[in-house]
Amino acid sequence: MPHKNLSRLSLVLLSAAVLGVILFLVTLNSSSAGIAVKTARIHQNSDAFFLTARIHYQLSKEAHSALKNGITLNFTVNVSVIEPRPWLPNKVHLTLPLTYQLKYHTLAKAFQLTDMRQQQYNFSRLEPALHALGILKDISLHASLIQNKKNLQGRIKVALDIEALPLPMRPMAYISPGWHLRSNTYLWPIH
Amino acid sequence: MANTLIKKKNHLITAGLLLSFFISFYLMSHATQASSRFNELFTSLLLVNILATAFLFGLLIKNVLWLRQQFKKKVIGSRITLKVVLLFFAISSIPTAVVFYFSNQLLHQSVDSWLDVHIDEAMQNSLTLSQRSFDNKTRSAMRETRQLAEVLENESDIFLSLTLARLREVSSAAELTAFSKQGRIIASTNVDPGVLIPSTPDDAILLLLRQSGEFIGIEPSDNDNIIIRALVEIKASNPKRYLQAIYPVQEGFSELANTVENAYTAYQEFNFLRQSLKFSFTLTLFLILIFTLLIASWAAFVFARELVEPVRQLVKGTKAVAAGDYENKLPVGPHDELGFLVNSFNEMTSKISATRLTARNAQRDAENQHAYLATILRHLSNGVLGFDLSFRLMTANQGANQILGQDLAPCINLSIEALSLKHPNLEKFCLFINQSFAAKEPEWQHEFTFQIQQQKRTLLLKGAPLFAADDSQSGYILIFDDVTPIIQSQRNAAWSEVAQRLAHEIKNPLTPIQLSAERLQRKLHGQLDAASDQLLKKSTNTIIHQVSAMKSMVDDFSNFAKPAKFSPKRIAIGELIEEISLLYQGQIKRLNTHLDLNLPTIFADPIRLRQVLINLIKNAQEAIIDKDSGCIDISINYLPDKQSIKICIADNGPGVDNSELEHIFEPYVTSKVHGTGLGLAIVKKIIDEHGGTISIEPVQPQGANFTIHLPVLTNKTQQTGGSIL
Repeated sequence: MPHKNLSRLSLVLLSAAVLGVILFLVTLNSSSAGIAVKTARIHQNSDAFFLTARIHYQLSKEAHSALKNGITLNFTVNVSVIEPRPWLPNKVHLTLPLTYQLKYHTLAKAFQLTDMRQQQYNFSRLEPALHALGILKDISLHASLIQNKKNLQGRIKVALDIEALPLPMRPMAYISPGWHLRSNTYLWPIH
Repeated sequence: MANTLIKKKNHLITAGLLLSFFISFYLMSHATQASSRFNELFTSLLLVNILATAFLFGLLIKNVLWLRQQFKKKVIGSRITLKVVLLFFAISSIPTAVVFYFSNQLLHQSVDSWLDVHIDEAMQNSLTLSQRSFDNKTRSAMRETRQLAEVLENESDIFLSLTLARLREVSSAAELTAFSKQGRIIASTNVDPGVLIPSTPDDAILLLLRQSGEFIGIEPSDNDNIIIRALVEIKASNPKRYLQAIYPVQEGFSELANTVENAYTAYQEFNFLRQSLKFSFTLTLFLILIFTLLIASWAAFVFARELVEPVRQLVKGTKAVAAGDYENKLPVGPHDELGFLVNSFNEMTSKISATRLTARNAQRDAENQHAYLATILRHLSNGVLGFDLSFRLMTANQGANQILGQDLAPCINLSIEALSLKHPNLEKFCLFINQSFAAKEPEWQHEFTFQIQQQKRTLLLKGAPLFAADDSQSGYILIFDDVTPIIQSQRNAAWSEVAQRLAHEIKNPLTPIQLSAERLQRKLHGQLDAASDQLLKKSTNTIIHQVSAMKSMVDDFSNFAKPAKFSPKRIAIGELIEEISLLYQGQIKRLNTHLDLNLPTIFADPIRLRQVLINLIKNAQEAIIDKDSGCIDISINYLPDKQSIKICIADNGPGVDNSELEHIFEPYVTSKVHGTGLGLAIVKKIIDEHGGTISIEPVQPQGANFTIHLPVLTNKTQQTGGSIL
């Protein structure tokens, strides 16, 4: 019996160690690459609500290299309006996923940004493109879902969509820290 | 039955799980193809398959630990299980690993072959060619834009819009826009009146513009079209103004350029993904390899268990049989050779069990028979001796020991010659039976007389061959009985008859003879002369004394023939002897008595026992009468093991001749001048009536010792009246 318990314990410890290493690698960010939500606010104009936010993007080496080699990067900005409740999960009043695409046009030698409305913007350099990507201005929200409600909070999470990468890249992307570009959850009170 | 159902159910569940995993692996391999509809599920499938592999790995670890435990405990079948598992694993792993290696190599080579250097160059050249084609267009667009800017020199902002509209109409530009230094739109015109907001350059372009005064570039536009964006500084403008002209590229040209662009991008992407592609393929193959090996290992364990189970049962059954358990039935195995073996084993153990039971019963019967015979032999007063064909002693019962006066148990397996050597007093007996058996008579009967322990014994011997179960002769049997007491009784009876007749015939005339002699003496006293009177007196006295002696002798005869009634009662033998000893204390100089302190009471006739003791003491007294150093020793001891009283009366007189020893207790045997020869005969008769024995043995250097053994009655014998009554 003691041998059996010892074997089980060693197996559990080994599994925990492997999981720990994977988690460490996954959470490890290379250099200063990453996404950070700097500011965000929702303002009301008559009966309409608009989101304005400023997000800082900094591509990792892997993402930059992939972009320059013709890989399209997809970023998803998840905007939510939640109502925190004590002892209960937050109530989600509104969820708005905003998808952005960034790719490099070899012939034009330009970075092409496509927003959620399929509007295309061309940039000769990456920095302005990332800057433009990080500006959310006056994005309309469904007023009826958040009107006349109190104690609401806005929430923004931004992440590079690994599942939108070409299939062969996905396994490596999941285990490579350079591909784990995601922001912290940014919360702010609405009213 | 229930176990079988559970096993089948478990196997079905496991088979279902494995099938699910197999389908998952198939979908994953299918998803790696670019055109697969499972493309989006690739990551989920990969995760599921990794979990499945981990599950199987856990299953393998569990089985390995189980096997290790079995091996450590030296459980039956663990070695075979290990061998089968290793064999299975080796058989499955080697070809699978080979297939994996070559498949992986082939995939890598195939991926590499898709990316040829020539194609790479061709793609690069085609892109360069496209860019060169655009160079001419951008140069002419730049030239045209400069010319337009020259027109706008010194133009005020108020008329700028109108001027731009006019210029756009005469130029090939689709849109003309005037910017301030800060990038603010001053005026704009577009060929499409619906476009209200002009396309603005980004900050980088504006920066370049401010630094160099000019910017030209191509840009992708909506609907996969390509546009040329040209920006130049408007000279002599105050404040500083910039002109942006956007020239559309012909649709056909744009389409061709886009085709080149897309192809180049796809090729570049593919080139970039080459390592990832190899990794994905290798990962998929590796997972399939691991999955296959784990399934093979698991199957090996299942197969080994199934295969070993009947063997394990057989080994357990064999051990049980070796331990003597024939009732253990093995569970019936599968309908194959192993199952047949198990069934045969069960059949064999059943038969052995039945045979064993029969043998055990037969053995028990034989043992019972043997015990029965042994009991009979033990309690048989007859002596029984068994010999094998070479005349070695095989059996001797208690009766034989008693009759022959020897313990023959240590002589078992001794030859008859060795027996006679070991016990010289049995030499004649051994010689006799040897000769009798050697005479080849099937059955014989003889009377044999020999002396043992200074006593003459007459035995009635009966010999017969012993036969085995197959009627073959296996030895000889000798049955004998001590007929000495019978002969003695017959003799005593004869003597009693003689004594009775003598007493009857002699006693009757003795009284008239005595009376006549006394009358003669009385009547003729004084009538004869002195000499005749003296003669008469002497003669009549002689007649009277002799008649008295004859009457006394006749009384002895009468007593011997018709003893007084036997009246036993509980007596203390020690006190009786002491009382009798006191009578002789004055007559015998040296009379020593030695009495055991723990003498039990005995059941005897005190008058007759007194007669015995007085007779023996008197005999001893007469034996030492002529000796100054005559001495009589009387001892009495209790023998608890024999439950008897031993009385010894020894003297140091002249003793008894050896020739007389064997006849000394017979009537009319005496060494005395005036003895009737009935004293010791009466003594023996009384002792016999008490169930005891009497013997005489010489004492060295001189004398005789009479030893009497009288039984001590137990409670049981007292209640039943005792064996002597």
